[in-house]
Amino acid sequence: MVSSIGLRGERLTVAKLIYSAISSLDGYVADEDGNFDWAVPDEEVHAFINDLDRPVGTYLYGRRMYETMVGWETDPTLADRSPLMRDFAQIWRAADKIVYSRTLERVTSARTRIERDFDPEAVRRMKAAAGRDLTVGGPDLAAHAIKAGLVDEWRLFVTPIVVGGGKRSVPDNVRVKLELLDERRFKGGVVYLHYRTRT
Amino acid sequence: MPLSPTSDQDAIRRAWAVFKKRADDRVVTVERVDQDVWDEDVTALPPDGPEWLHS
Repeated sequence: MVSSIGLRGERLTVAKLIYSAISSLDGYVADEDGNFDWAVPDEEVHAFINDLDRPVGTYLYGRRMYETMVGWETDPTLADRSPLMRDFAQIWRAADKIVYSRTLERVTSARTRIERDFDPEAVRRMKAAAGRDLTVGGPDLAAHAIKAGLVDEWRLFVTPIVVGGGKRSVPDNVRVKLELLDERRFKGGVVYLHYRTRT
Repeated sequence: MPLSPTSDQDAIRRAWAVFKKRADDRVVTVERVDQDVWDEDVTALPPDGPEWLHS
């Protein structure tokens, strides 16, 4: 939800940048082989994610995360598989997407643009101007946002698996104090942790 | 750390395959319950008509 701040009688609306990730218990979003099929959400988690993502206005993605998610628009068989999948496909297509990549030549989804560099100041301006919250997905891109102090909230889904190594969900060499806002456990063993960055 | 043994596209395909299979399995389970296993236990149902009214 977008927050409103009163400042000497002014009302400023500031959208939040939310880091969202599904990780193993030991903190990896992909294992050493690059696989992340173990992180695929079950029906209960997926329904919960749909509701979390419904108000999101813009997704910020790294190339790999974009190539994973773009199936929601390019695979015509998805929406017919279940109401849950149809719902998420509609949510995803309705949002704006920005892909940060120096190698991606073209995008295959609507409402999508490529940025060649991650400019923290540009993201700050985007947050100030946005009417709806933004999420950042993909650990490499998220690392830039975290290190630049841009991430306001963290939504982590901890999957009941230890994979032993791979791509870390949270970068090394950062220190961020967090306040727990919410938590939830799911029947399949996934735990949702929702934190706010302490300022 | 290099993520070499599986290419990005293979990893993505693999994740989507799991996702789609789960969705398809749910449909199969529902069909099986509807068509084969459904056996109404009439003894568990409330009686019809005025017998159901408590005096």
